[in-house]
Amino acid sequence: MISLENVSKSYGNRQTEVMALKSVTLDLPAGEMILLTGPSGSGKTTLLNLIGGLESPASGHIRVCGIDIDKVGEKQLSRFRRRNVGFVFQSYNLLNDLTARDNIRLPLVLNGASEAECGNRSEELLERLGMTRRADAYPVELSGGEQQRVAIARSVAHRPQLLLADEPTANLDSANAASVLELLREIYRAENVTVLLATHDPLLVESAKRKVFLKDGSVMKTEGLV
Amino acid sequence: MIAFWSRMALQGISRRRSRSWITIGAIGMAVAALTFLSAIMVGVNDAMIVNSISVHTGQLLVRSDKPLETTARWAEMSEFPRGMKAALPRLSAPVMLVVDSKASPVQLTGVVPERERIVSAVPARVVEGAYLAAPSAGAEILIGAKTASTLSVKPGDALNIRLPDGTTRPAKVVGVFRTGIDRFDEGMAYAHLGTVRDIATASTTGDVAVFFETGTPDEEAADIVKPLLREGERIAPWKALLPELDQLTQLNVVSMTIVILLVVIMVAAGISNTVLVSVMDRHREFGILKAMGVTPSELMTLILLETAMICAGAGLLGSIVGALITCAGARTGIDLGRFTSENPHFVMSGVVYPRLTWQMTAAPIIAVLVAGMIAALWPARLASKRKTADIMRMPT
Repeated sequence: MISLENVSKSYGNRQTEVMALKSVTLDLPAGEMILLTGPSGSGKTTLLNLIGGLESPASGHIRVCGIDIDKVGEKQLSRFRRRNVGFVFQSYNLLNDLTARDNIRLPLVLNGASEAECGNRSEELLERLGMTRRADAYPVELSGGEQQRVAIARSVAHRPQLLLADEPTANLDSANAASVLELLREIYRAENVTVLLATHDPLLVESAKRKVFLKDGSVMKTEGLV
Repeated sequence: MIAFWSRMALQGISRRRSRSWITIGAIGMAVAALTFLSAIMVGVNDAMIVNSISVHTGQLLVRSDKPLETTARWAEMSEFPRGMKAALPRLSAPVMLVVDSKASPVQLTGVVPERERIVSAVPARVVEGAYLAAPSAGAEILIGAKTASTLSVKPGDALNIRLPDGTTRPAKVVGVFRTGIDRFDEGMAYAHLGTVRDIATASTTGDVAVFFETGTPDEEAADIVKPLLREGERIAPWKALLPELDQLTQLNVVSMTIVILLVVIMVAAGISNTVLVSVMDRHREFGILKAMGVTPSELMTLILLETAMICAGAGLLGSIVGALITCAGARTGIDLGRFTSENPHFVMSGVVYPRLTWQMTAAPIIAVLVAGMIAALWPARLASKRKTADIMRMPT
């Protein structure tokens, strides 16, 4: 499903170069919920961005959903993300010009779904998330927890193979964080999607079966992975 | 998919209402100003043409090898075809006006006074006495101010018309006109058509000046006249008769086009700046879209569609406002007499009636639309080329 081979990534120029990832090699199985954990600056977000095709590695190879994403151009990468990947960000990142319903519909429309499909799927997700009554609200009218629910619904609306969640609970209070995590687990079970979740929440890390520990851009250890 | 992006663009515009309206207002004002300026330019050209052709040529002149027959036939015409305002048959003969020992050579032109009064400039430019009235027993003559000065005559005085064969005819001066054009004020005199017909010789020429409603295209005017022509009669359009006027109107159009271009360049710079600011402000939105798989070209399409919608809306609004201002100006006319009183192309009146043409109305809209799209290309490209991860790392 996800295969990284000697992947490195650095930022800045020659003088100010910072190595965000150093020769990371990983094989992550499909259909699992895997936690990426480690302290701030350990390379979790960079790893998610590389797997999601949001940026390119400095060296090494990345294969996701059967596509060598380090070898394809910008347009193909966009198509890859559109079809195969759903993102959940720490700061929700909903589109402020669209209502909750339209935010959920957006990936479906981008993937060419019919009006009926868009309608059915968005209503199904809104109902599952308990957001039906808030469907026509704009993001600024929603609480943080509600926004993250909509963001999760949007990330799986088009039934991607891979869901990348970057610190999805970091901006939420403990009650909302717990609710969002439960939702992610439910989605993972119901949608049969591979979930890659970056977090440094110790409770969450403790409860997870499959984990990748990162530190200073390197994989320190893995648990539950072959 | 274009319908989806159009809807997104429309939503983007409507959600940023204040900014959109300010942009639409600014572009719209420019379009309205350009529309009104264009209408004034068309009005000035109309006024120059109407003034200039009203002195003699009409919109077109029917020339004839058989002047007596042609002028007689056109003089008998009791009704004019649709679109035609008047047809003025004229016979012209070179004569000498003589008073005692003083003489002045003129082209004596026989006219139908009641027709001339409809459209000709000369009846309106009588400064002493009166214009020609209905034909009477004796020959009446209207002379130019410079001829009157040369001969030292005034209305009511008698003079003699000396023909090329040396014979003379008595005539009475009924009025004096001044057009401000020397070749008319000292070279032309007017009498009844019958008077000139009576003295016609081989050197007498004849033509019919035909006038149409303002704004009638030359081709259309010619098409109206063609069925009325007989053998030996041919059409000479005013552009061929007054080439300097034709050039002057073309110069006006070129000047106006340059003004439109300059204003549009300034508007384009404003649009580019607005789109750039908008793109900078919305970096996160574009980053999210790119993360969701929107391609760079789709993002460019979205930004260009928003710009196109704003420019089209502003163009439409500006045109409507410009048209309303033009209509208000056209009702009363704009009196530029202070600046045209000595201008031979404004013999009759210095009042300009702004007029809209399709070309000059469409030009600012199209120019703003095209310039807006070109101006938005760079900011749109900037947004589409920015790396998604870099955008997402920027502060909210």
